[in-house]
Amino acid sequence: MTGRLLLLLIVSLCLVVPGQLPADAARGAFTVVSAETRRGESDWRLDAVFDIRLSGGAREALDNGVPLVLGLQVQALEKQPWLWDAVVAEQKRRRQLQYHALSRTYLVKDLSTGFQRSFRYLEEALQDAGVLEDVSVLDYQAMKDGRQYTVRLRGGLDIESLPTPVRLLAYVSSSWDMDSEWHQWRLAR
Amino acid sequence: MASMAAGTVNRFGIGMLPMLVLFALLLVSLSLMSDATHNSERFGEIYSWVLLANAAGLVVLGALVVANIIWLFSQKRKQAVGAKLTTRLVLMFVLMSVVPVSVVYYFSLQFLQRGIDTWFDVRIEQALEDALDLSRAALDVRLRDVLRLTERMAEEVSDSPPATLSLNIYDIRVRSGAAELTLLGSDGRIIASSAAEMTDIVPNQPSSEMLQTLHDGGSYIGLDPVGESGLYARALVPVLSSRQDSEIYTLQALFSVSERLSILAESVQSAFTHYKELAYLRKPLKFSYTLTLSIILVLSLLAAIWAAFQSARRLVAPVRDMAEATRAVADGDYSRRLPVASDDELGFLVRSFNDMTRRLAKARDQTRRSRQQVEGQRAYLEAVLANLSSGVMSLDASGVVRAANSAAKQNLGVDIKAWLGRPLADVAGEYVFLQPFIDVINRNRSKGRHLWQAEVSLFGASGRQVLMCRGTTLTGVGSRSGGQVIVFDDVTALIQAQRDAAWGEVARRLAHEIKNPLTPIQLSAERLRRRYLDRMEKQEVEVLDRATRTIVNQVEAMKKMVNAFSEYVRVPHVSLETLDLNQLVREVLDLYRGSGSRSAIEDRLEAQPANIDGDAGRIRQLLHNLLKNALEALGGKADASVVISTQTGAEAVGAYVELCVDDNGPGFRADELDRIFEPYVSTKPKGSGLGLAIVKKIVEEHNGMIAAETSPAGGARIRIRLQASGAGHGDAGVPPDEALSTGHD
Repeated sequence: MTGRLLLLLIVSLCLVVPGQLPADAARGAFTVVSAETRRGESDWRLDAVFDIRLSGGAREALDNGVPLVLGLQVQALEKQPWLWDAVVAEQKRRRQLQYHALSRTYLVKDLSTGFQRSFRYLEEALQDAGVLEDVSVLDYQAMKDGRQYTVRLRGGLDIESLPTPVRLLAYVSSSWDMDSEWHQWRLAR
Repeated sequence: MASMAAGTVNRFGIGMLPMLVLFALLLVSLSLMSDATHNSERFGEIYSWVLLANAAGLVVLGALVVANIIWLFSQKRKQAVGAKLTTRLVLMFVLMSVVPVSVVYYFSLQFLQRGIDTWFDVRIEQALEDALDLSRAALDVRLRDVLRLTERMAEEVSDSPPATLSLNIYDIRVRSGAAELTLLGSDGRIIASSAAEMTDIVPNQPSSEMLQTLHDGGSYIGLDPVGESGLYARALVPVLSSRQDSEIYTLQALFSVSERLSILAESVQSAFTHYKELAYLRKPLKFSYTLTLSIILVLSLLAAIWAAFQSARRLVAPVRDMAEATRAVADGDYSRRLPVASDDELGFLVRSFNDMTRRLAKARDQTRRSRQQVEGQRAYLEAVLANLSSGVMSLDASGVVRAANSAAKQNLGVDIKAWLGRPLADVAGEYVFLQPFIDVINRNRSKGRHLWQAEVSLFGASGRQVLMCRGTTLTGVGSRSGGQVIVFDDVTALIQAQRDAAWGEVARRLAHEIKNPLTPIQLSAERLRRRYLDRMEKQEVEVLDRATRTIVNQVEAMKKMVNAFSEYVRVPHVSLETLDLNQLVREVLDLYRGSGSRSAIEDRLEAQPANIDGDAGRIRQLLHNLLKNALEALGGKADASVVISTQTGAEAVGAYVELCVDDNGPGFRADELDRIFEPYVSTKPKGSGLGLAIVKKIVEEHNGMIAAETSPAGGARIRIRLQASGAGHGDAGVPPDEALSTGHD
């Protein structure tokens, strides 16, 4: 009797939840178009370009005035003989993308610098948000002799910055999934 | 699996504390989630963690409930005590909690859905859009002015020589009141720039898409929210130079919108965005609320089910203990005591149960001790009875054999234990030779004698047997009153010994009293003959001779008689050996046939040997006595005939040999039959009276039976039955014959 009741409850929950989810199933993605490390004066520096395509859920939220925070993350890893690779340096760029209805523009704001630019078209805004220019990756001084170092790069939507009611959906729904895998390469000495 | 589940249940069912802590944590977590769902600043950030914590709580509670359900199913499958009651209580508790919670859930959900929908109104949405359009329309006027102004400024710039471009740009910006004026090359590089704010070192560059508009031959005008500074109007126009081959520049002017207009427009923009965001968040919000409510519902239900299990287990535990203990008591384990856990009615019941088992154990111990005492006494009595030489047998009022000792078996020669529980009358049919014994008991029982004594003769497998029986009616033994206890002794040897002793004494006295004077009498008679026979006259001599001869002969006869009597009472040494009775009879008959007797002696012996265990000399004497007795009885009768016959037979008790001597003489009188074998009882005028007595004595020496009866031919018949050689001394005996047995009370 009890088991049957529980089953009924679970089934009804399963029926209700998908009905609440947005039906837009456009796939989003963060794709690394180019990534290059080069020697700076005192450190390794990185130039990278992401091709960002918003998922259906993210696009709908943006069009409805919800600001999206796009995160770009760079890590320098040191190869360990027996353990996992250790993260020896890390850089994060968080860029907020928002639609400005009055001016009909998309605003891209770097949350660390506060610098903001506006774009009439979304593609241009996304292009601007996906650029990493001259980012310090790893100090030469932090590098040890005889060790191998790798750099990896990824980007994604910061779900925790979304309004609370959307978060659960963003976590569980594929229409919000747009995070990239780590793009990794070896750092030449 | 079931035991693991039971273990889990037990581990978590130790006390209420873990349950209360879990509930408290869940309540806190649910409260946080509820706050976070409302987009609260405080808890919005930890929403995901709170949700995770609640999910974990859900899993833990679900696992507990599943473990409890598995435990309950295993209990039901094992048909454990209390499983049904636990199921019933759990179902009742669950129903009591599920129904109201489900009703509240349903209406809350309805309220929630409709409540959120009422926040939104189409008219407000339209009004906001209209306000936004109005703002745009108001700003468009300003934008057009800015575009025209910028176009004029571009004309001025186009006429400026390159060397004074920067100065001109500054001059034009100051004059026009622009916030920023920048001249860009065709590739977007900054040629010259001037800004009102000195802090803006880097000019606000146009996007490539804006520049693209110019490349297409047009101008660009648009609103541009620049950081925190508010709204700006951005205008881009090409700078057409009159010089050939010169580069086409672009002039970008940023004009701030008037503060008042900017604030109003931003207000409209903010309200519109917020409303649109809210409208967009309506569905996720409903989902979040529904989820929160559902999690609360499921958690509450699971907690209620778990609490139902715990409560049911706590309630049922003493009942289950008591049921198990009762079962143990029913199986005879009175040592079971139950812990008194509470002071309520159940506790009272447990205490009463403990009292009951304690008393039961005490009563059982007393009963056990009493039984041991009774058994001890019974064993003692049985030992006493078993060691008695007398046979003891008890009957109940209906004549059923209830008890018998081992001496009874020895005395009767049958397995009397097999009689137990059977009526004595039934046994008589199986052991016919015991009929006299059973008759005596039945006779006395039917007469209702309380105390009686009788002597019974039996002819069993071991020959003739005399039993001295004494019976007493049982009184004062409750339901067994009215029965009888019979004590019997085998007095065969005793009687024989007494008889022998009596006759021995008679013989000794006779020898002493009679035989001693005979010799002087004989000597005196012979002296009379010697002294006076020669001297007396012829007539007197004859008288004297006849008289003295008579005296001497009679004295001689008397001596023989006394010797015969001595022989009768003498206890002979009987040496038994297997011999053929037929052969012995033939030998004896040969002597008689050769003696020229006038009587015809006929033998009707069986062709087969009639083997018996006997003393040949004594048996021969027996035959002589019988034949002599018969011949004397015939007394010279003309057609006198004696028939001697043997016959072997077998009854249930064993084989026997029967010897009959028939004559056609006068036979026995009825009053003689009882005494015919006693010494000095004779029907013949010449008989010594010892012949048949000796015959009987010899028969008894061979454990045989003798009977005197009337022959079918009208004369006398002596019938002797001897045990055949090798016949078993079984439990049964030779069937008795009325004439063969002599029983008297």
